[in-house]
Amino acid sequence: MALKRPRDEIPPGTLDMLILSTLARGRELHGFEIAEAIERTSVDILRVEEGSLYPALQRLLLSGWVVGEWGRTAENRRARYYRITPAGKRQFESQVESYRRVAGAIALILRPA
Amino acid sequence: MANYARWMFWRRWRANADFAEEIASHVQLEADQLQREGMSAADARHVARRTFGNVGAWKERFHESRRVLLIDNIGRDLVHAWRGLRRSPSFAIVVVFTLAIGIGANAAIISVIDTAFLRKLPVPAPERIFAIFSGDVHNRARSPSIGWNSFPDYVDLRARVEGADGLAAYSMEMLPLGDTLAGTSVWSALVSGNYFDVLGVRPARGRFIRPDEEAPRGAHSVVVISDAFWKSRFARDEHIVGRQLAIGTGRFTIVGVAPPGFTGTHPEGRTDLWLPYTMSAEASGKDYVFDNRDARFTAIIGRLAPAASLLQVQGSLDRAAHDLRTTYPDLDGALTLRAAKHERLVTFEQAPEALVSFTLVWAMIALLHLVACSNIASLMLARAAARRQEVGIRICLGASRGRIALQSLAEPALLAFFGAVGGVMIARWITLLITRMQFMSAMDPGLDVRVLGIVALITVATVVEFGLAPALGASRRDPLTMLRGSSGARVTGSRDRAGRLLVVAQVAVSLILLANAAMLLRTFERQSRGTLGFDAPHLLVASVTPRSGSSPTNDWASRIREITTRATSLPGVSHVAVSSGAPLLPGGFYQEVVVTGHQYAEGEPRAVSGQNIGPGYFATLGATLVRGREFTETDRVNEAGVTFHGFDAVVVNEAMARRFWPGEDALGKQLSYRHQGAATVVGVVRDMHDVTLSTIVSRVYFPLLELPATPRFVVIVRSTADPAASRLMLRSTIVSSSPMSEPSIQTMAELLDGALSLSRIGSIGLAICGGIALLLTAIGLYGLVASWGAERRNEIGIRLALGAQPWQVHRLLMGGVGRLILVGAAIGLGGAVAMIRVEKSWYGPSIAFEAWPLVVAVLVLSAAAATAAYIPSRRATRIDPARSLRAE
Repeated sequence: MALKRPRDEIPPGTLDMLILSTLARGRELHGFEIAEAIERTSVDILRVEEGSLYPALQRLLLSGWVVGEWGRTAENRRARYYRITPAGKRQFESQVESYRRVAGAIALILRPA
Repeated sequence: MANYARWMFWRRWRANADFAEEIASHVQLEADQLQREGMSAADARHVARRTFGNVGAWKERFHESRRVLLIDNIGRDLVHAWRGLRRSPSFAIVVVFTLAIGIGANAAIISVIDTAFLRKLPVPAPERIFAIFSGDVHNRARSPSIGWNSFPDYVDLRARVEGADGLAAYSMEMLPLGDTLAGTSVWSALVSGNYFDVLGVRPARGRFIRPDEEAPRGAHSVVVISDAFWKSRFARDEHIVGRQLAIGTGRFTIVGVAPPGFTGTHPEGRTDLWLPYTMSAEASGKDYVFDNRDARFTAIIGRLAPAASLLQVQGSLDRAAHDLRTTYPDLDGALTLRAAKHERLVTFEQAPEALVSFTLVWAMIALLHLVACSNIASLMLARAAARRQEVGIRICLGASRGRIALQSLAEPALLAFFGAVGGVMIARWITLLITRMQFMSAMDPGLDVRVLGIVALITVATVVEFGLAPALGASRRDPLTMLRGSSGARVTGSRDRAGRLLVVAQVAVSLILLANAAMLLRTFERQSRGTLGFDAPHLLVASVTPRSGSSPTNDWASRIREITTRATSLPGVSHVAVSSGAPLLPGGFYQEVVVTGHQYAEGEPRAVSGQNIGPGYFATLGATLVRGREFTETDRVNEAGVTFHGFDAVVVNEAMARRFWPGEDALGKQLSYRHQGAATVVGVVRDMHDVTLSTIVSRVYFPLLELPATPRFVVIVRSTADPAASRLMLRSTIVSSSPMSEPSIQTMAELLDGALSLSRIGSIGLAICGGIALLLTAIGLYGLVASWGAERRNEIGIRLALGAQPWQVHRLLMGGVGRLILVGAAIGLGGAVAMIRVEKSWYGPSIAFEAWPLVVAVLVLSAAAATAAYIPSRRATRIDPARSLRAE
């Protein structure tokens, strides 16, 4: 059984962006799958707190950036599937934009003088 | 609205359930994953759930992330406030009670003002309704009332007025009812056929009077009743249309019911019946009202045509007036006609004093309510102070300022809500009381949406006033200070300042109310104490209205003589006199009089108060003739004919003599009236308070037979016999001289009482208001000084320990208060003087501006304030110094 390696926390404010990014790949995923995807794609560096995942999904739902629908998984379990909306895609792009700007600025400061 | 709330709650509940389901599914999926990785089913589920962590906490967080918290919070705050109030029931009851009275009184008086002066007539397009006023070319100063036109003039105007979509006329009468309702009279309108068409009202039942039912005389005995009449006399009988009503000497068929809220177009009373004017002979017996051109008892109203303006109407009226003046020089010789809007029952022009009185009354009540609210505000401040620690904890736990403010508003909001409910009930009760009073019977101040809206507004204002201030103060404080609790340090500046301002305001308002009350009491006392100018005891006054069919003068003179002779022979009777009116009996008249040789200034009124009196009038009253003589039998001219004759003799009172012939003997001087020959002054009588108790009016007394077109006359009897027996005997004497209708007999004492009643009610009411204000101010002062004493307890203890005298402690605590009282009193005095000035300019000489009442008011206030401040101050001096030192 694979022990879960201690992972780093996701920086505050970026969870929304990561969720949107996962969904922007054109797929429909349910909550559990989204969390897995993030952890996997980040090569297990990032850990998603379930407690913040669902509120984040709720926020995205309320803002109209994702839509959710109940469906059945492969094992015939009920789960809610999320899908990004066009508005969500636009939001995602602008978020990435500003994130890259901020990250670049931080990198400049941290660069050895 | 309810649906939306329900949907919101449902959505939230659904979302919560949704969320719970999602979490459950997540946990399940994770468990599946772990199972795939090799765990047992039970272990997998355990681990999954543990990893997910505290489901409850995340539900909470999810719950909070949704923005529907506001309603939830408010609900919780209200429940918390309710519990808090339950713990201090006496406080809650006092506050709710005070609020209910304040809100109720305010709502009641505002609704009365609204109904009387602000609400428009309940007809379509009321702003297009106008009324026509007949005036006198010589006397522009006096504004005539709406009902002072002559009916034949109206008939002529109907053809000549331009720009009107119909001109209607009506005359108000008190009509006696018969059958089962015998013995009662109702205020009714005898209308032209197009009255209802012009107004545009729709009947609630049946139909209204039709234009064709105007003629011929006596043919259409139909009547329309008011909604209130339907309710009170017929209990809203469904089959009301077609029922019979006995009015006067005729039987009338009810053809319709007016809609509720429609009470006619006349300001002086609620109209209960409408009949065609052609039925006047049967209904009232007064068809001369509609036949004679110089009988002015008709009101004329009209509706502007769609494209017309009042100017057009006025233009045609001016031309018509000119024509009438030239065609009937002796009857309409000085006629002017004026059109004015009549969209409300009472216009400011017609009854300015009434509006001013009501506004003043409202101002007093509003001020009182303000004082009460400021007291409540102090109480709330004290309560807020007690809760400081709790608030401090909440702030430390992360409550935002807004949240704290909202919470602090919950309690006052709850109190205000209950206060408003109580206020509505009290307002209802007060308006019922007011409508019982006769002069207000035209009003039907129901509690409709407008009034409730006003109540709500007042409530909100109240809540804001005494809830917001402590709420904001509470949220601004530093939590640490609050947790520590205060005592020892001086109270923070803002709270103290608020307390001081409240006291100043309360003192000022109390002084205004007290001063007004004192002044009114003084006026009332002067009125009841003053000399009347005649001998009031042992006088009986019988007001007689003959039935229909009899014309004035002819029959009458003999009937009057018969009554006089028979009355004189009654036991105990020493004097009998007949007159057109009596002292203090309402219903005098004004007569145009031209004094020979007097230079009339431009616009100087020529009308004087007049009365027709028979021989022996002054002797019966016990008035003093200072010059000349009374009328005698020979002063009557022959009784032939119906038209009015000119007369030779008149008697004037001293005021009249002073006005027109100052310094001279009025005997023998001449004056003329009705544009006829001169009459000579044959007597001068000492001034009497026979028109109003408050002032002396110039009067001219004419001989009896010249009746001014009202056949009503008054029999005055001076009798030493028992009043009750005399009353009965007089009644039977008059009634047996048929066909007189039921006379109304009162003693002079009763009339006096009636005249005084209004001032009495006013002064008592005002005194009560003043008393309440004073009480509240005293309580407020007491509270303030007590809180100061409590705050500075340690300091005072130390001072006492160091040897301070009690009077020094008093000076410390009461000194501050003294200054506040002075400031408040100064403001109050200014306000009171200003208010009295305004009243004086409206009510004239009946209100005397004396310094006395003001002095008394100030003294009373000072005494109360000093006592209120002294008591807690004394308690402060008894502080045990040792204990305070220990506390430090």
